[in-house]
Amino acid sequence: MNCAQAEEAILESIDGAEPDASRPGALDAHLSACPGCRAFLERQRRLDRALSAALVPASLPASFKAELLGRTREACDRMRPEEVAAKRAQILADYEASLKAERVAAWKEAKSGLPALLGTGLALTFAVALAAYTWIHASSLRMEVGALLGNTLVATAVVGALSAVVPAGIWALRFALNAPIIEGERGRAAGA
Amino acid sequence: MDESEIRRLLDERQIHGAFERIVEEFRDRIFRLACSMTRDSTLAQDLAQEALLRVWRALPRYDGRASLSTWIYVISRNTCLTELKRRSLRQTVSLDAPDSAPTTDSALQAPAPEAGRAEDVRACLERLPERERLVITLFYLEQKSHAETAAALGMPVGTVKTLLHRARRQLARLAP
Repeated sequence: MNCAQAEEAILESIDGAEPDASRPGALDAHLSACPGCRAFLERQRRLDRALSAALVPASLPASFKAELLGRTREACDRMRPEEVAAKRAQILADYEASLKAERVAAWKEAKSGLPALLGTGLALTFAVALAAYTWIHASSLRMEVGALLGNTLVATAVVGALSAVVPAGIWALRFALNAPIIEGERGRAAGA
Repeated sequence: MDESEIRRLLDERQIHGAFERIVEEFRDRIFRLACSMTRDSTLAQDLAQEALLRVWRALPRYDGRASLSTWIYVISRNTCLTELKRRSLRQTVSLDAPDSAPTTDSALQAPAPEAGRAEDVRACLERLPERERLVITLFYLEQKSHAETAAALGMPVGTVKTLLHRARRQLARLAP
């Protein structure tokens, strides 16, 4: 270890760093043989003690936080009308966006049930048609193909109508239940 | 410091609660930063108030791109620099301009032991280039924490160490 390296190691140790583990005893060995670096070390130690003694921060008064929070309240009270209007407009815009997202989510939810209902309707239609055919065949009352098709179409129409009416009814019921809440929130947002 | 609690409050739009936590966490650090920049504890106290007030105003717009401490320290440094510039002391505190001749009063409490030596050290500190003076002052105010000093000044830790060693060498030459 030369003097430049020793000085750097001394400064590191004054900063509070751990000694270089890869060179154990190297600094001590250098210091024992170098009076110049010993003097540097002693001078830096004295300087460190003096800096620690001199650089002590003053304390904040206990009232600091209360004063600060008081100033934030004053700043609120002093808010200009245009700032109030801008803030209100921003809140309303945010709320309208959240309402729109709510409507989209409700529509997606209602729409997601349609395939299942349609599938159920078709399965029921097929079952009804099959049962009718079996009954007619078993009673030896031969029906004309047109009449059978007519019955099947009527059954399909009934099930199809149910498939459309049920989700619409669910969505309408949901909207009716939420409407007062939504209107109330809108009123609160406008008044904020 | 754990910023997650403050971030959670901000995510829940609990601005007031988040601000109170920020005040608890940062008031002393901002004050020490202001002390190191201004060397005037009364002014530093006012600037800490002003910086936190600016944080409060800007808090609803905090977007989380920078860490909370980085964001708060930037606001705090800018608050100090703006005030010092207003007081026509800009040239004595620039983080970029290395040379200066500061003459303001000490911001620091006079310690009881080694009072005479402490005064000598303060006089020597005033003769350092600004960046070195700022780094070594804040390093000691922050209880010798490289990381906290670097965060407060917006510098890499390596730069803090380099400036610190340079300041120590210069002080050793200047000290009586």
